[in-house]
Amino acid sequence: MNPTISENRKKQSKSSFRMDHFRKVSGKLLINLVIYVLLMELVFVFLYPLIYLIFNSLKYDFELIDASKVWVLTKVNTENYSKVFQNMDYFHALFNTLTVVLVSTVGHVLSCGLAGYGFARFSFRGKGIMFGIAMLSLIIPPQVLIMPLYIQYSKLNWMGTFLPILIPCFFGFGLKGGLHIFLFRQFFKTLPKSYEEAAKIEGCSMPRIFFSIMLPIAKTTILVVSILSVVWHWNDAFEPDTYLSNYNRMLVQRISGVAQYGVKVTTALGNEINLDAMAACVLAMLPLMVIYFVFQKQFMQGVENSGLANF
Amino acid sequence: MKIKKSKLTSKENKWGYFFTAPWMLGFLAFFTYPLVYSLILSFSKVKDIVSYSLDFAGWTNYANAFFQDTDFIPLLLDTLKEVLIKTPIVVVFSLFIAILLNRKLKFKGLFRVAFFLPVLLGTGVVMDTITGNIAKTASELAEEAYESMATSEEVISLSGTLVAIFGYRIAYFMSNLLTLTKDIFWMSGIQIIIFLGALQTIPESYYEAAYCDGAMEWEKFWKITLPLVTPTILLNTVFTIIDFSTNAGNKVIKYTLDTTFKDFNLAYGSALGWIYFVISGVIAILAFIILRRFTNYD
Repeated sequence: MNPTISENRKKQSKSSFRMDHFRKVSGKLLINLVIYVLLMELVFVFLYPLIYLIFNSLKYDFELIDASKVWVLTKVNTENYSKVFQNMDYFHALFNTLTVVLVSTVGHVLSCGLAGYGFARFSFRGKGIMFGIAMLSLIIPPQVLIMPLYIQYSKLNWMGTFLPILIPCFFGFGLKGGLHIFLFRQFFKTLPKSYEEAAKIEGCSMPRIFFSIMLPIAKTTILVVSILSVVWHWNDAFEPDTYLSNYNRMLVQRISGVAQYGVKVTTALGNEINLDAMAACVLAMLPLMVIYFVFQKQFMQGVENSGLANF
Repeated sequence: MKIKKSKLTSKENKWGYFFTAPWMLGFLAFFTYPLVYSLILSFSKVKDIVSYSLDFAGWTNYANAFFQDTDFIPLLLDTLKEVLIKTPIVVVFSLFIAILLNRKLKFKGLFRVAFFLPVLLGTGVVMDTITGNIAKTASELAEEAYESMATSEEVISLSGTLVAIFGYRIAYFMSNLLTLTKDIFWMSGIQIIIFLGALQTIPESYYEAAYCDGAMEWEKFWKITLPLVTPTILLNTVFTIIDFSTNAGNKVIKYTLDTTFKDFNLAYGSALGWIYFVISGVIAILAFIILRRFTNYD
């Protein structure tokens, strides 16, 4: 009797083990499936505007009117693009954009790096209040301060040039400068003090410690700050609209100019589409997309190491 | 020895001024000066626009904003309501997405890029063109469709079919919901990345230990993940509030700009700016103080 019972038990335990295993695996599969479907759907929602933009900007108007061909492209229309390309004076606009974006990013990295290091590593009188003000400068919408600054810049004869956008960046202000200071401070706070102590023993001066030790260590944070600064400056319309002359306008500002003379088509779904504006949008965003796709991985790593998590 | 050491450190600490010097210069030129100037403007009356000569006017500009202007207060309340409702949703949504993305998934890179896309496209002109092209906000379309239904015309748009199926009220509510969802998705790009960064710093061993003790996913979230990301929740909440209140599409800011530049009412415009700035600053600081109590620094 006994061996049969034990055998039965063995059989039972084996089958129940299989059942458990099966349940676990299938449960995991199910969860993963649900997550993938969910993510795919969300990604679609996020990508939809972009897909819509690119797709419709390549259509001929007779296809736009046709309700049966919402997501079908039978003929690719590139006329729009070549026309908009000329109307935007693309290369000149791109040159303007790159000037603004690159110079102001260099300014942000230098000035915010310095200030962030100062706030992270030294204790001096008024530090708390000063850092508080740096953070407060984020809350103030730039639109509140625009009038006095406008007067100030026109007195300095800076209107119509890039200077009103570029110069504040070299002093830790400009577009969301406070946030960049915060990012640098968080990063420098995570470093051990022994770096500086070792350098000091070797007879290194403070500015040199910063420029030849600290900045190279902060490579990832520099990348994060640079990408954010580039993206925000690229997309900003408010400051360039206020300060720049027509000749100096950047890519994104030229969209509205192109849109004014654009052909408008009413689609089958009942919305009005401005083909030229859409093509202009794609052209204006294209370089930025390329920049981001190239640095995407490093950017993510940078956010992970930036010390934001240990806020 | 001790005295010497403290001397040295105080000498070293002077370098703090050196490093923050550029910021302090910028603070005087690009922050204090315009801030004080706009504060003075808000308490005065512009006599002559060409030479900017001012007369002291006391609190009249502020009193006008609260008691005379019929547009400003509703706009302000609307905006504040929007900030208060949308901020928690954005934070919870971005935490949710970050947790999903933090699992071991294929195509992780693609998902990350997709969720950061709204930040790239920005909320500026490009976004306006896109949304202007896709729809004049879903709720407007629903209203239009309703009107065209009333005049018994053909219903062609998506919102139109919604109205046809569910009736006006529900369709209106649903399309409002859609607009809200779109807004929230488009505001949460950076928050997702910050949360993801925080989640990746949680050591895997915590989860393994919890697994050995038989914890479910749900328990792991409440007992490990959530307490460890509380500092990031604080950061993201304050960031979201700031983002919403300084957003260029903000109605109050648009109104303020219009009074300043289109009507050229400088003094009144700066008063409006100050009211808005003080209120949004108070909200951000309050959120910071309240959330700090629940924040867990280990």
